[in-house]
Amino acid sequence: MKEGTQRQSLKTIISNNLFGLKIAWKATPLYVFSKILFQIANAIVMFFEHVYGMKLIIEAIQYNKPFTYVVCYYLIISPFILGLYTFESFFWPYFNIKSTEKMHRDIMTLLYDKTTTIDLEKYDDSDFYSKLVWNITQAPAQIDKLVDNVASVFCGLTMLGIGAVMFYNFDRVGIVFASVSLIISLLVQAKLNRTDYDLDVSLNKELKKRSYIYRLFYLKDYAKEFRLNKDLKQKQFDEFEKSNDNIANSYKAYSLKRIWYSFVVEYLCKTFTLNGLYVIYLIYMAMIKKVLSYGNVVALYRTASWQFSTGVFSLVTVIPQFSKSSLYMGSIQKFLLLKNKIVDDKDAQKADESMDNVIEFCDVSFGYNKKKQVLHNINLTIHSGEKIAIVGYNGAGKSTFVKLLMRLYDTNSGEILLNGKNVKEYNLHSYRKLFAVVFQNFQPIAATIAENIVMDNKPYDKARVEEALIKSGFEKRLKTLERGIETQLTREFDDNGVNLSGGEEQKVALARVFYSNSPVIILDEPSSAMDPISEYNMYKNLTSYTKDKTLIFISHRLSTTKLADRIIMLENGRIIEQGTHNQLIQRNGKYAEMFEVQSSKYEYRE
Amino acid sequence: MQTESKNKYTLIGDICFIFKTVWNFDWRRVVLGILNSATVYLLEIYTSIIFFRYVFDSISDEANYYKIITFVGASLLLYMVINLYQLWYTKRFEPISDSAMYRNLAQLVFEKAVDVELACYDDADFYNKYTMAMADTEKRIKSVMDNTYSIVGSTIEAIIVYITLFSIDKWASLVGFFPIIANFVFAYFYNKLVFERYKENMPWFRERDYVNRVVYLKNYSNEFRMTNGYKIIRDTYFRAHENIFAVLKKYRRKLVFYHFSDMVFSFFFVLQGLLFYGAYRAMVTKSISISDFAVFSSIMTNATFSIRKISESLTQVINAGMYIDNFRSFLVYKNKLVESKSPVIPSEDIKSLEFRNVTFTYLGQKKPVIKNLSFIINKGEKVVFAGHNGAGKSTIIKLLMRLYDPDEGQILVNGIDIKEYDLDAYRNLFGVAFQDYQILAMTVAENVLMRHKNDADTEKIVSALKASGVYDKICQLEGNIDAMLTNEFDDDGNVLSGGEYQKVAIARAFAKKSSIAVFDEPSSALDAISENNLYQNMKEYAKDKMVLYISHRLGLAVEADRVILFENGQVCESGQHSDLMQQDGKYADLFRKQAMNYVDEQGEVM
Repeated sequence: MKEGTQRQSLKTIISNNLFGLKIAWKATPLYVFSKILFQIANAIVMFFEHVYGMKLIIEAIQYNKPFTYVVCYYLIISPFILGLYTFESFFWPYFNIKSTEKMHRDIMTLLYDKTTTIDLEKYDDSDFYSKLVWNITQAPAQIDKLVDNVASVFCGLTMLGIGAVMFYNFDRVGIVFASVSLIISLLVQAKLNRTDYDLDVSLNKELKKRSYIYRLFYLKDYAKEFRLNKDLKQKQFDEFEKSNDNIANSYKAYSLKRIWYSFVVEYLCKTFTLNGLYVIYLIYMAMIKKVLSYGNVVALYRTASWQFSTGVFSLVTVIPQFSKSSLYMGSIQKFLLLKNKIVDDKDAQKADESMDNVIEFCDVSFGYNKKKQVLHNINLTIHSGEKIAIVGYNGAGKSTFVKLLMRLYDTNSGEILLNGKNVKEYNLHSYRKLFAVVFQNFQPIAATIAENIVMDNKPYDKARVEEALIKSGFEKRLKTLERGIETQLTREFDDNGVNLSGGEEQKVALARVFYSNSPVIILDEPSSAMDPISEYNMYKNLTSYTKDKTLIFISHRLSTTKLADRIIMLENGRIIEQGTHNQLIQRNGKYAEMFEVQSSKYEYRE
Repeated sequence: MQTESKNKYTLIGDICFIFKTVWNFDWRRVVLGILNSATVYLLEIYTSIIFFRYVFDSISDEANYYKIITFVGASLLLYMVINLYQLWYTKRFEPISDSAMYRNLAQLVFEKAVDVELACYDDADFYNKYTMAMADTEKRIKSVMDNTYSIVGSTIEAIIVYITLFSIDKWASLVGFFPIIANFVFAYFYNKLVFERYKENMPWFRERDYVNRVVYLKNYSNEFRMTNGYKIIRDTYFRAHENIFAVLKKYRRKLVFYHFSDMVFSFFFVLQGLLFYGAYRAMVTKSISISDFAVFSSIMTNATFSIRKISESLTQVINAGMYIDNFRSFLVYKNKLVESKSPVIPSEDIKSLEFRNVTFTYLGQKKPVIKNLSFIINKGEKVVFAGHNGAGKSTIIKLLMRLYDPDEGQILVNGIDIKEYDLDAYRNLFGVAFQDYQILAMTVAENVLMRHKNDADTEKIVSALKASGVYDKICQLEGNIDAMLTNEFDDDGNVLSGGEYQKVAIARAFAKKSSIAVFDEPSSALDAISENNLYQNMKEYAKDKMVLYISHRLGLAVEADRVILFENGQVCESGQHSDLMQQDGKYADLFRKQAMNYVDEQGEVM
């Protein structure tokens, strides 16, 4: 991520991480709590088991204390140890997994609810979109990491705290060794993290490229191309080699720094200071000064070499991670708090499905970005029950026109009126319910056929669904399906699911229109994947069924536009011609030219 | 996780295979890798047995202080050398060697991947195995190597630890049975249950993952705003989670039991048991010295963790074994599209092309797609292949290009069975625009050529892009024909619309100096004018070539030399457009239905 380079203030880091932690806490408070508690308890029990216990036993041996002393110690500590085991055994195989699943579910639902309601224009902003995808795909791992890191901090602090108590009680000089080691480690580790980060940045693109090329070779999608273009293999291998070399060179460039910093942290701070120098000091105190018992030597050695350095190490590695997770949590927070421009105002006037609706475009202009206007000064009135065809070349603005109509976007200038009132003044949900739509490039969701038609989780009328499918020409195929309209579409997660052909999918999509009660029907190239006969039947049914409804359809194929009461020809975002088919043909303008090009192919006299 | 499929090779065989492969890539990798692992184990044993014991013995024997200091100093030097070596290995040598290894691996894999016949990709079983083997191969190779080191190292460590224990007290070494039981009995059952739980959860994971994958996709963005379709998906998500929770709960009790038993046997009996026994021997029977006891306390963790590591690494190797098996079978796989022993170089002058009684069935399907198909196409003919979806048109093209071989019958070019030809040279005869084209992440020019670009190519590329009607668009891109396409790994790469990508793919057919031009539904995403221009350019370009044009839009058929109508994998009707219309059969019917809407009420063509 590019944003990683920005510096964040401590306040931002804390507040962003707290935000993430709050989400986790809300989803599963018991989990967050027990994870932290477990880390603390574990550190304490481990101390009494391996450090303090060892001191007691060795001293008991050295000073010839009775064996019952040791037995007592075991009687006290064993229940704690076994208790911890019991907790762990319940925690790891069950509670941990269940809770993280639940936590993920709740966070993802939060994100998804937002994703499906943000303004559609956000999808066109490719930076925003790729960030959105990144947020969503990373969310589970990031939130897990955050909870783990918080727990690790508690673990590290507990271990450090116990270590400090040990040093304070038995050898205060130890604190000097420990502090020197801690401070230098923290400073150098920060540099190491920085270097690792720089390395990651320089590797990032090349790693992506390398794995992309590797994937090309084993994915089915590209198999044909490699077989028919035999030089493609060499070309891709050369690219692979190039990025592979770049990767090796990046590692080489950073290796000396990384080795040196790691050496300081791992060897000089840990092994040399805490294991080496401190041990020499301990032996001196035990042998020459004779102020330390064997038990204390062992216990202090363990405190320094294990307890304290593990604590230091976990803090040193965990703390820098908070600035990473802060970036992520900040980005999620920003996304979740995003304000929509197109707002669903519950109190606004509701649009009425049963009414005759007149839609007016008054001087509407629109562009997806400031640079390029897609629609210019559109003026148009659509009366209830009219059949309107929108034609034009690729990029003329046809799809944009219908998207504005549905209020997936709001106009830049000018207004769209429904029954004389700006569409922005209507309740959004009720307004959008006026439309039944089949979009271009329709893809079914992994649900039953019926659900794909009803597109709601409410109970539905089976007979009506079947009727809609018959009208859309799906009847023949429906009969071959054992489970009828209950058939699961796609094999995404159901092996008994059915993958329909492109044409069949479009028929299912079309059935939505026949099923719905919406007074306005919008079709964006509904027949592109259908064969001629299906297309012909579909349009026949469509015209007879939609008699009193408004129908707006976009089509490349002009054979269908003759069905329309009015044809709107768009070019470069402007209405250049409109009228009935015959009027436009007589006018002999652009429409006539376009129609001529297509129909000439069918010229044949019997 | 365990594998269900039977392995073709033995585990030892797999390990040997990996080491042999890596040895051939770079023998230093194997030697230095072994050395690196050896130092890890050496350090562990040295610290807990030799270092600790020496220091403790010296203190209790009141040895010379300076002797101890010298020993500690020497040890620190040893630690330093080892630490530096390990850092050099992990931070410099290994990553660089990895990329060299990856390069060699890629070369091996690419060679093979391009060679395997396309039919393998239709075999779901083969494909799954193959993709599984291919994905992350380099990681698995590393994992097998590292885990092998770990098994050998941990075994040696365990032997030394138990011999040491035995030398102090022969009964104490018996404690080794506990971790063995824990890791090979309880952990075994535990893992088995976890795997069963995973299998039982699979369907719900798939549902959950499906939702995670699709909610934010652009395809659904419009629909989720216009309908309540998202609610269905959301329900799916929650249902999946409820099911996951139920499965987790079902396995909870048993897993907690095995986990607890594992922990008690692995840790409690070894750690607490050994110490308690040691204290008893030192204090009650006074049969071991205080320093022996201290050794007990320091090697008890090695005693249990060495055995734990053996079992864990063994599981990992066994798991990787399945992938390695698949990888090996893939490398030795023999292509079934056998090249002729004395391959004929085909003439570029194509006089005839014949299908003679060809029958073909896709793998895993019962019904043949092509049934006893025969037809001949003569020099320079422009033929339109017509027919419904699923009539077998695209399959014919694939057979013709020898992406598959027919089950029965022959395909002859210039009277010679195409199996006799040199495969690469034969496939090179074709210039193809596929319906399911793929755009690769490389420059426009390279996407057209499907190979490296030379300076001499520029003119050819420009005219091909002009012919396919996308050159104007390409000129708007920064870098012109050298502009990068797709943002797969390059964030600055250009993303074009579906229609524009298709035109780039069509340009491939124009750019190639081919003898037979094949257009497989090239115009599905194009508007009328683009389609017509494309067709005119195609005619111009392929003046004296043989052209096969697949389309279910019949408008183009009028101009073709011949139309072949396919139905159910057989030729249904064949002849010139006018003849077929006179024949008044299926073709005429189909054509009329499509033409109907272009013809006005009087039966006159507009």
